[in-house]
Amino acid sequence: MLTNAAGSVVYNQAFAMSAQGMTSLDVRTLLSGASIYDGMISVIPMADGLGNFPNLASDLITYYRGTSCGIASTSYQKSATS
Amino acid sequence: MQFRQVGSSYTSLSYNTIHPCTNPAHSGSIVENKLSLVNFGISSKTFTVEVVKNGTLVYTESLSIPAKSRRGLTINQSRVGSTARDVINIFGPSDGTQFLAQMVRYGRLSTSPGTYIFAIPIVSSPGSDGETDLLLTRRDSAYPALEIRNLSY
Repeated sequence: MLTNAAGSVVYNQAFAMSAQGMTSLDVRTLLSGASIYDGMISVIPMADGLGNFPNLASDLITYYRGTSCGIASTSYQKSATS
Repeated sequence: MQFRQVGSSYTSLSYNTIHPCTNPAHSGSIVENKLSLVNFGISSKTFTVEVVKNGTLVYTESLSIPAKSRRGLTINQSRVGSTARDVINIFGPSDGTQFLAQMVRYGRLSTSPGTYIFAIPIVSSPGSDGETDLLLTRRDSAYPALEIRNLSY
């Protein structure tokens, strides 16, 4: 779930992941058309049909690719889990 | 980059060998995921590193690390392929010995391997079944990429 700086939800989508798997999401694509520059991404595990919650870990990597990717500064952000 | 001790005997990281550059001159850049394991204990300990690809365990290595020492392991394209991204599981000693697991994802030019074009620190996590919140910005032509790993079996 993505929220903008005002706290409004601009994207909310559920998707399945396989066990011991990793997926990478292009946030610019997710936000296509939305005028959001600063905000927050919340990754919320959902229970399966048996009521079991998955064990997830999430990283947000921010690339500054520009036109060169040369001395691209790259930031990494991670929050504590609730 | 955070310097954090991990108390649990288990933690995980993600690796990714897909280079993110959009400049055609950087096509085919080499991506290396360099893992550091540090044993903060007062005696030698054994750590097991598991590399998973597409849900299948593709590589396992057992590392014996002396007290107060570091060992490195590189997960590169020759080991997992050039378009791979998945999970690394790290199992430390179960006696409560504190250790650090951290990774830096380096990008190097294929035409000039000594030239590094990015370095991304990745901090290990044992995962959680609770909500995780991450700060987002798209300012200054930023390209945020969200990597989620499901550590459940």
